[in-house]
Formats: sequence, structure tokens, C-alpha cells
Amino acid sequence: MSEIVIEPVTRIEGHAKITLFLNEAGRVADAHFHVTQVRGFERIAQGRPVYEMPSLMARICGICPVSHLIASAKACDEILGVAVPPVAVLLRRVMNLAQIVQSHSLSFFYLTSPDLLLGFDHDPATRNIVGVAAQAPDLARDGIALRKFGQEIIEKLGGRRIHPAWVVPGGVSAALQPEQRESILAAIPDARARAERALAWYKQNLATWAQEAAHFGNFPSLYMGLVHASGNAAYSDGDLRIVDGKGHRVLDDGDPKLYWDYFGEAVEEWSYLKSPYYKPMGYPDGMYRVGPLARLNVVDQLGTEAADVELSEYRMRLGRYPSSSFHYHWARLIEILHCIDMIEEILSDPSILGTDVRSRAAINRHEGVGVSEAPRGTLFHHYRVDEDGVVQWVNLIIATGHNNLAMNRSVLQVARQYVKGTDVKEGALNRVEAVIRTYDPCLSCSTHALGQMPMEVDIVGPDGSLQRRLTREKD
Amino acid sequence: MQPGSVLVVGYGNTLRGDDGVGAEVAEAVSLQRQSAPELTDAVVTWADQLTPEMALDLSRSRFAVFIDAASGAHPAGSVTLQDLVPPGSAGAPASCVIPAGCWQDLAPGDLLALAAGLYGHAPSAVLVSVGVATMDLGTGLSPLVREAVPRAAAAVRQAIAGKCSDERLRALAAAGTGL
Repeated sequence: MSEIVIEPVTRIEGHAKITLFLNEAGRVADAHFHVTQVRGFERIAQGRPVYEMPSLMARICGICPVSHLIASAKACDEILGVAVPPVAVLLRRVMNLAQIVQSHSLSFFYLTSPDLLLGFDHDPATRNIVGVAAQAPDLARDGIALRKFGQEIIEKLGGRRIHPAWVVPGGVSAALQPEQRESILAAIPDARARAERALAWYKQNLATWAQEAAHFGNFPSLYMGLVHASGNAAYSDGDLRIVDGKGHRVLDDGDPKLYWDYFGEAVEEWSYLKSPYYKPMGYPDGMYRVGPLARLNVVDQLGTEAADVELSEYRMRLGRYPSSSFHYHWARLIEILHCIDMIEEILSDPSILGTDVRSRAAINRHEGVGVSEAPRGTLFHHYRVDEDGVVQWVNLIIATGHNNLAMNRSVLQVARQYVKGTDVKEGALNRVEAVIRTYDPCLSCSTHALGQMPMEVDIVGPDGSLQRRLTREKD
Repeated sequence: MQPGSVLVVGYGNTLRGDDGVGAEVAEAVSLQRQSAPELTDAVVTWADQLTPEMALDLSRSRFAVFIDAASGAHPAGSVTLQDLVPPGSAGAPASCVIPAGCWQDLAPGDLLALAAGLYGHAPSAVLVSVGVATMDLGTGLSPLVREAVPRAAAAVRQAIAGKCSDERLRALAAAGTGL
């Protein structure tokens, strides 16, 4: 069997590698998506005071630190045994929604739009955000403005764009000030208009990417996300819902604290990234997807008017339960619009300026589980502490981990479609990478590793020998 | 930020040893605001890396100073100043050369080109580079680079003071490691 290796995989957060195994006929027989970073945060945290955990865990990622802050703070809330003041619950939500806007904007406009606008076969030297700026300046400006919108909300609330320490066990460390509220609300109309323009552009061009949509991880699977009792999307609270490809509710009103009853974590020797699966269906049949595509599949509706109109069109054109991972992109844009409108809805209520934003307590329990929706999907933090509140054990299940089985299957599907033998064209290589990008994986998060990681493709022959290595240098 | 401000951006990873010197210098400049009149309208920031969003702030600036760590031919602790040539103020930012697919690796010239291409204005700008000894994992600067921080901060202030004078900028550039 021949083998193709792609390393580094570009335009993702982190460092990974793809190996394609060829059979005697030179066709792709199997594919592995390897995450080559070593995890460490679950061990680093041991011995630390639990009060440090939110700010320590936020260091896992520079893109989505807020999601880690919130999941971690919720796990700490449990350990303290406190009821978080309602205003603080809402303020945490605002920060998480802002984080989703900025992270989705990075994913769609900076990392994905070069392929969509310029083409998957375009010269890689200019297939980037600068190439987008040259050809479609409005699209680039919208992306920059939307990312800035999300970042500035995070900065206004937390004092800094990256690793804000404002979300703390028991609530948040400071109340929202009237001028902060006004400045955020003032920015909403512009952000909304930009999100709507991007959606219009995407829908207008959807047919252009029909071939990719047909082959980019297009298979039935389970889908998971947090849902409010109303059936609306939940990003910081809510219960777990899992549906299958036909919409059957495999799990409904699932208590996030019981996540260990629902999910197993398999380990493959060729990757540091674990492969979670839905336990009742076993490994690997219990493959499921999380993130924007999955969230739009599990919710009844999003819960804001304009986004629900978009969701209706999305479902009308793609079906009620779209199965292609290519549609993560569209789902991401709809979520940007929804999050902007949710931020407005929450901040429009003057009670958000309330000053009771933190409950304080000592250690009252020895174990806590926190869950939230990160931009890439559902995020679990689970801690055990001793009587002094010193962390003894940590388990993290990160969005990118949940998607690991689906990412591997997606790479195999795309490789079978576009790779024939070892003479791999750059455009085919880019498509193999691009299917990974649909999931917007954050490998720093998923292995909780320190540093950055780019990626590589190996082609392995039927006899196990390396036939070709394709490496895209990062620098 | 206010239109027409001076923008100072220190960048680099503070968890990679001397790579964090850009942030250290920017912080030092920020602390000198009270005593340095040339910093009156300066907006001083620092970040792990340059990102496309900074192009918008750049386009609203009349002058920009980037501060970065430099390896290779730059001796550890050396401070050099380079005049950045503003890109064409209109049209495609063709001067950008970004490694395939990377948005994390923007250079000051890329950002200036983005500012010009997307927002119609790129300010004149300089790059203050500090030679590094190590960029291994870890916080804190090596001794030679630590000693260079005040000199680099002075170079930033001097560049701002002489921002409207090409001759002055050239003189600073010529001074090179003697700053």
C-alpha cells in the first residue's frame, strides 16, 4: 500500500499531519488525520488552587479562551456550590456570544474565504486574506469589522481581547457599565449589516461549490449541541441533545454533568487527539459531530428573528438535517448573525446593569463539571479537588476532539474523490486540507498543548513504504 | 482610536523568551507617556502577532511604529530602525507576500498594504527591531535583550518626534545599532 502525507496542514489552529494509504491500484484505501502535539494542561493543572483554573485553562487557546473561561468557571461554580447571580449568567453569555462572532469571523473570512472566493485551485501564494482583499475588498472589510466587533466586546467586558480574567468562579468580577453597554449596542447595526451581506454573498455563490459540498464529509452521523428547554440554541447553558441523520433524538435533555455516561474516549496510536464517541453506539459507530452544523441540526430554532429566517432558507435548500461538513461554513455565518442579535437582545434589557454579579463561597464540593458551546462545538471541563480546593484531577473534552472521528472520515472521503496515485496536484492537496478547515479545528485546544502547529501529507504504498511526502512550509 | 493618531505596536510571543521584547518595549513606551510630550496622541498597544484587524487602526493613523524581535544578522541586544516604504494608496495590495494560507504571519508591510488597499490610507511607518539571543519556550528576556529595552523605547520616541521629517528618519536609520 502506498502512503501520502500532508504536513503541515495549513490555515488551521495548530499543527497536524495527514497520511493517505494507497492500495495496489493506487487508489486511497485509508486516511489518518494525525494531531502531532502532546497534551499537557490536564497534568499542568494538578496541584493548582481551583480559583486559578479559569484563567489557567483560558491559556489553552488564544482564539477561544472565553469558552474555556466559561466552562472552567462553571465547573468551579459547582465546586463552590454557588448559584451564579442572574445578571452574571447573562454577562457571561454576552462574552461567549462575542467570542463566537470573532472566532467564526476568523474561520470564515480569514481561513476559508480565500478558497471560496479565489477557488480551491488558485495559486496558493495569493490564496489568503490579502488575496481576498484584492479581489473582494467588501468581503475582507466585513470580516475584519466582524472580528473586531467580537474582540472589542470581549475587551470592553474583560479588559483585554485575549485571556480576559473577568469570568471568575461564582460569576464575573465587575458589573457592566452604562457606557460599555451603550457602545456595544451602538455597534450592533453595522455588525448585523455586515453579517447579512456576507450571508447574501455566500448564498449567491453556493452553487459554485456544489462539487465540494457533495464530497466534503458528506455522510450521516450523530449531531450534538446544547439546547434550551424551549428548543432554542444554547451556548453557555442548556442541556445536551443528540440527533441522528434523520432527526431522531438519540439523547434529549441530557444532563451535561453526566457526560461520562454518554461519551467514551478512544485512543489511536497515530494521534495525540482522542476520539470521543457516543457510548451506547460503541466505537467507532458512535461518531458524532459538534459545532455550527451540528447545532443547527439539533435545535428547533435559533431564537432570534433574522437568524431564524436564514435558518429556514438553509433548511429549505439543504434539507432539515444537512450531512455535508461543507455546510459548516453557511451555518457559521448564520450563527454570527444570531449571536449579534442575541447580544443586542440581552443588552437591551436595562437590568443587565445590575451590580450583583458574583457569589462567593469556600470549597463545598470536591467535584464539578462545566459545559459551554465553544465556536467549534461543545466543551466539557471536569475537575476534582481536595478539601483545600487543590486540583487533583482534570478531564477536558474539547470541540475538536468530538469531531475527530468525523474529520478522519471526511479526509478519507475527499482523498478518495480527489487523490489518484502519488501525483497529487496542489488543488487536490488543498481540498484535503480544506475539508479539515470546515470543522475549524483548534488543535491547540484539543490537545491542550502549548504553541502553534502547522501540518504535512504522507503517501504510503501497499507495502507500507513512504512514496511521497508533501510539506507546505509555514515560514 | 482617534483619527490622525500615532500608533505604536509591539508584537511577539511573550512565552517564547526574547520574542516578547516587542511587547516589553511597547509597555516601556506606554509608561513614559507622562514625561514624553511626543507621546501625547500616541496609541500604544502590544500583541502576540499582527492580525488583519490592525489594518483598520493603521489606516486611521498618521504615523506607525512597529516593534519586533529580530534574529539572524541582528546581534543580541542591537536596536535598529528601518523606514517602511508605504505601499500604493489605492488598488490591490500586490506587494504582500504571505506564506501560503497563513494569517498569523502578517508582516508590517502586509498590514500597511491591507490598510491602503482596504481603507485607502496607509501611514508612513518604521520598524524598530531588537536583536534576540533566544526564542526558546519560557517567559522573560535574556540579559542583553533586557538591557536593550530602554534604548529601543528611546528609538521609538525619537522616531515619533521626527515623524514628519524624512531626513530625520534616515538619520535614525543610519544610526542603526548605535541607538
